[in-house]
Amino acid sequence: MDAIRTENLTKRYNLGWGRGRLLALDGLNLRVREGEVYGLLGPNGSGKSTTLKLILDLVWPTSGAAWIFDVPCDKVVSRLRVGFLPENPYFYKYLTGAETLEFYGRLCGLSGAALRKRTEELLELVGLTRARDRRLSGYSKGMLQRIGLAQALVHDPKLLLLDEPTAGVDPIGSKDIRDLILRLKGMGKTVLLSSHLLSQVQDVCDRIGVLNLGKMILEGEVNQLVSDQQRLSFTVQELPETGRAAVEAAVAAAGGAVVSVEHPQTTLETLFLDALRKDKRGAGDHD
Amino acid sequence: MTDARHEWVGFSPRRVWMIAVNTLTESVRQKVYLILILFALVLISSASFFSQFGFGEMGGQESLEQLKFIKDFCLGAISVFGMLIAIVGTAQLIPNELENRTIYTILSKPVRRVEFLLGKYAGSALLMLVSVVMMSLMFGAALKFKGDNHLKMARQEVSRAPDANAAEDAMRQLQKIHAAVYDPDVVKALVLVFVKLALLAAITLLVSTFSTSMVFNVAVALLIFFAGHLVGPAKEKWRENSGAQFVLTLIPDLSVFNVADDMILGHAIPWLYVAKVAMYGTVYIVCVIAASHFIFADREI
Amino acid sequence: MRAILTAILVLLLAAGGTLPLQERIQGQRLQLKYGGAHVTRAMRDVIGQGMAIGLLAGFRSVIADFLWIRGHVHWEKKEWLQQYNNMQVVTMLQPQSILFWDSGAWHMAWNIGYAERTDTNNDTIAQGIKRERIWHERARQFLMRGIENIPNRWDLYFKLGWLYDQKFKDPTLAAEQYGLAARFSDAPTYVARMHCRKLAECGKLSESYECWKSIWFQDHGKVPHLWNIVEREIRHLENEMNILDSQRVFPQQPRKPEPPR
Repeated sequence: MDAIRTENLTKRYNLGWGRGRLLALDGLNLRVREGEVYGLLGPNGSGKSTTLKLILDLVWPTSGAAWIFDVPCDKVVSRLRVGFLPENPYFYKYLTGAETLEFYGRLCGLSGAALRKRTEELLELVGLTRARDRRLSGYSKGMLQRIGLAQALVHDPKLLLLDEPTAGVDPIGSKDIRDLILRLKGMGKTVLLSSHLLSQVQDVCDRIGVLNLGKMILEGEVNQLVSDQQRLSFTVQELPETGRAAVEAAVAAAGGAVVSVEHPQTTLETLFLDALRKDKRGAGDHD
Repeated sequence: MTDARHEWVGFSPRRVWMIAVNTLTESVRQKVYLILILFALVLISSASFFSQFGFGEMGGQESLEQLKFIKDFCLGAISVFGMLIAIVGTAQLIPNELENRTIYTILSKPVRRVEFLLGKYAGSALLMLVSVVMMSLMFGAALKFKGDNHLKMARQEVSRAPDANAAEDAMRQLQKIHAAVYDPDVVKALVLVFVKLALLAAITLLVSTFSTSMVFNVAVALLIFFAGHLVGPAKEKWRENSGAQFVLTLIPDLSVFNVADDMILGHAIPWLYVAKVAMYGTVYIVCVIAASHFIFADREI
Repeated sequence: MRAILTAILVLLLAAGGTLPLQERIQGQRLQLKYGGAHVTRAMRDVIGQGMAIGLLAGFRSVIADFLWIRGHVHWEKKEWLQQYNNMQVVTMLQPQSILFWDSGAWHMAWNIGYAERTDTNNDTIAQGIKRERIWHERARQFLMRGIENIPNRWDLYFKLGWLYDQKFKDPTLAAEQYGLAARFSDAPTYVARMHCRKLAECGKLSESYECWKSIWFQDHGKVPHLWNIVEREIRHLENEMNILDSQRVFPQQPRKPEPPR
């Protein structure tokens, strides 16, 4: 069964008197398989948020339809198995972390000891146990995203929709969130996330789809898409200068061509995280 | 977590209550609300002091004057602050939810739009109930404090009366003062104030379902507040014009909820009147919330 | 679009559906004499824009109180006419308030009148008296308007009678007003006694006698009259009018007991 299935999903927004209509999504046919992490990419205004909102019945399609685990999205029942983290959430400023999760838990039918247990579990999962009694107005962006993830999980849904989960979050927070997503995948959950931060998506997603002006222009497995099947790169260690000429000669002899020879680069992100980890004073409010 | 959760997808009053309590908690913790309610309480408690200066000795007619002033002022304050809390408190409910994105987190769960709307309104109503109760208690305390002083003076007048006629007069005055201080009809007046506030909140909610600007919501609600008080005299003035009569009928007549003035003048307030007006208010509230629901359920977020 | 139309329909339903209820409420309000006079432009000119808005918001009583307190300021500054105008406005706002009519008339007749009479700017005593009498008359007109507005309470009739008694020195008119006040069951008992006494003062002895008798024959247990005073007055009148012993309430000769049948 597909976690998400859309057929010819189209959305036109009315722009008001005499200004015509905006085609936000044009005939989207999307299938997200159960258990995978799917990245919906695209520039701002490409229709990513619209897709998520259509799936959640927050806006209604002009034509076409969508299903969550084969339940039509316009039915309230369909939302039993999906959790949503919206873009740029602020939540209820005057509630504490624990109170927030308890509120959402009660909304989903939990109470008493079961509710408290679930709250503690989720706080533990997203790493906010120490901040449980602090009001959300005092949370950093990264912490808000994490509590957002926790509230999306409160009713243990099989599917998660995350809208720009790492937008505005510092590199450590981003890494934490991406690690969480991978953990959730390990727990068997399906994740559909939308983002325009491409490098971060690359590490986490199994498949990606690229939207532009409402249409899907590229889709496929991440590894296959980003790897250049035509070329090979060897990473070699402790090779003296003389050996280098020999290797290049060997390649030429075998019929290949050496395109470039350079020192491999780590990412700026890895550099940054390593430096912070080595700084014994700790890193801000990450707990 | 089992899948036998389908039972909690039907309309759930419990969910409405959860949202209501959440709304109340959020509202009560806001600085604006705290300042408003504190100001109201201070103002009401001060009523018993500023009527002190220069209105003659207590125990006589001046007592009745002072008590009238205190009651008018305090009930007026409850009305004004109640109105501010009702309108400003409700106007920001839906805009805030949109700004904080919390509306997405709630409606993306198996929560119906109607549950959300009712929960928000109920939270607002709870806020007003709490506020009115607090202000009323403060009013009661201020009135009792001052009233007991007046009663003491009046009793002294009775014992100091030079002859039987004067004694009877003083006794009568004492009774009047007692009736002014311990008037059970004040509860009826407060009940109707609450229903009026609930109606104002419902109207504000209706406006906020199609407009997200808080300033606009507050402005329109205030406009309807004033219009509601003008309906009575306007109907009198344009008696012949049936078009005007029709338009005027659309606006709820808010002046019928104001019985505080008449109560303080000593008029009786029959329970039948209270029941009729409460029913009028309730019917209007139900219809306004229903209208809000139709608009909100059709609104894309 | 459909949603908005449905919403409007529901609101129209609310308005239309509650129409009969609204009418019944208005009817009861008229009957109970709720609400004050309507806000007119003249009123707005007198009390100013700010307070007019307050009136529109339904804070009639608070504004009336505020104006009344301002009236005290005029009183202290001896600005009689301003105070007078003030009282007119206040009673216009709250015509159902006995307090305002009562206090207002008292201020006019007793306070202002006295102040005018004893004003050192008066050239002659007669001038002072004349000015005082103008205020008496104003108080009288004021109370009569009050009675027009509140005809179903004893208070203002009594005050008018007191005014006639004390300031106009007219026992006939005073007696008439005391009589009107005494009709009400919640009037204090002295009102009825004063009525009877005033009738005697006007020379209407037989009416006075009937008046006292009607008091005497009420249930002594239920009505808290000063019975010794009533008895004294009846005895006095019976002597004055030389009523036959057999017809007296308090015969001088003890009646012979009736012979057994």
